[in-house]
Amino acid sequence: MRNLKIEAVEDEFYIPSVDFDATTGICELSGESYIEQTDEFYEPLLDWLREYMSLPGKSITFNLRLAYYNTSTSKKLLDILQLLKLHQQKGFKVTFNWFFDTEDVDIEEDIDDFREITGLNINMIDNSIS
Amino acid sequence: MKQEFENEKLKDIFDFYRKSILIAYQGTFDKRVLSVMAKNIEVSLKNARLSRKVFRVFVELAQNISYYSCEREVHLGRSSGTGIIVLQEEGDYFVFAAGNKIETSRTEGINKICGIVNALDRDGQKQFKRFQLESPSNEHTGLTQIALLSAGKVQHKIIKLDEKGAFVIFAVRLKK
Repeated sequence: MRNLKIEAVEDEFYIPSVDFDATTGICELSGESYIEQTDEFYEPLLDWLREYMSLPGKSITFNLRLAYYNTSTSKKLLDILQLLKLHQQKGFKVTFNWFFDTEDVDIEEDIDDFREITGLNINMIDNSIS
Repeated sequence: MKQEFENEKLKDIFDFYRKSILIAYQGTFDKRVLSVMAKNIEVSLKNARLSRKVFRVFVELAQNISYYSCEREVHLGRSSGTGIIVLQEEGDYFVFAAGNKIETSRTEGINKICGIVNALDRDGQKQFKRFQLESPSNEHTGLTQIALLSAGKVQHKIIKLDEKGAFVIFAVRLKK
């Protein structure tokens, strides 16, 4: 299975960078995400995760480092988290690390929302020590 | 000191200055325009907490126009809505006002959502946002997010233009 890499494009109104590694199971999503056509961008990421999860014995560490994102992106983040929760429920190891500025109360509230909706444990990690 | 103006346009500009207008734009809300305005907000506000909030509210309002305005322009194969947005400082607040033309069929939905969001307290708004995030449609989640970001109400006014169309204006205040 191939790795998935997308470079961030700031001029394109904040397309985040993606680095999904099929060998290590470490998936990084970082930068800013203000994409309007979220299906177009995020569906390939979700497809990659589905394919990776279908392989035997695959654990995942997902590192999220989005400083800014719109509500359309929030819905896609929820899709990712729900997919990871499903993988965890099948008995696989899933670690979700959310790196952010811990003074950013709006992101902290979002994390609470995602935790409550999905039931997935989300590790909150201060950006300054990452 | 009272100023005399030979031309109303000159007066308009001076009024803009006195009203501390930070951004005033009317036109197509395509991603290039959004990018420039958003970057301007990001760098011009020194307070990081405030800058983040203003930036987020701006993006939600601007993308609301871009998605839902029924007056549209196509650039490089992408369709974007047209509308108007103003950001100004008013004492202890930043005040946003954004407007665009909509089809009459959307007015009921907007009135309903604004009514729900404005009637809820903060915890209720959070619950409602969770419900919206889980629903298949993405419509109006941004309005709830704006209310949460501003810790206040999203005011709105719909002005009927003709049988098919109306003009909707949203206004929101953000404490500095």
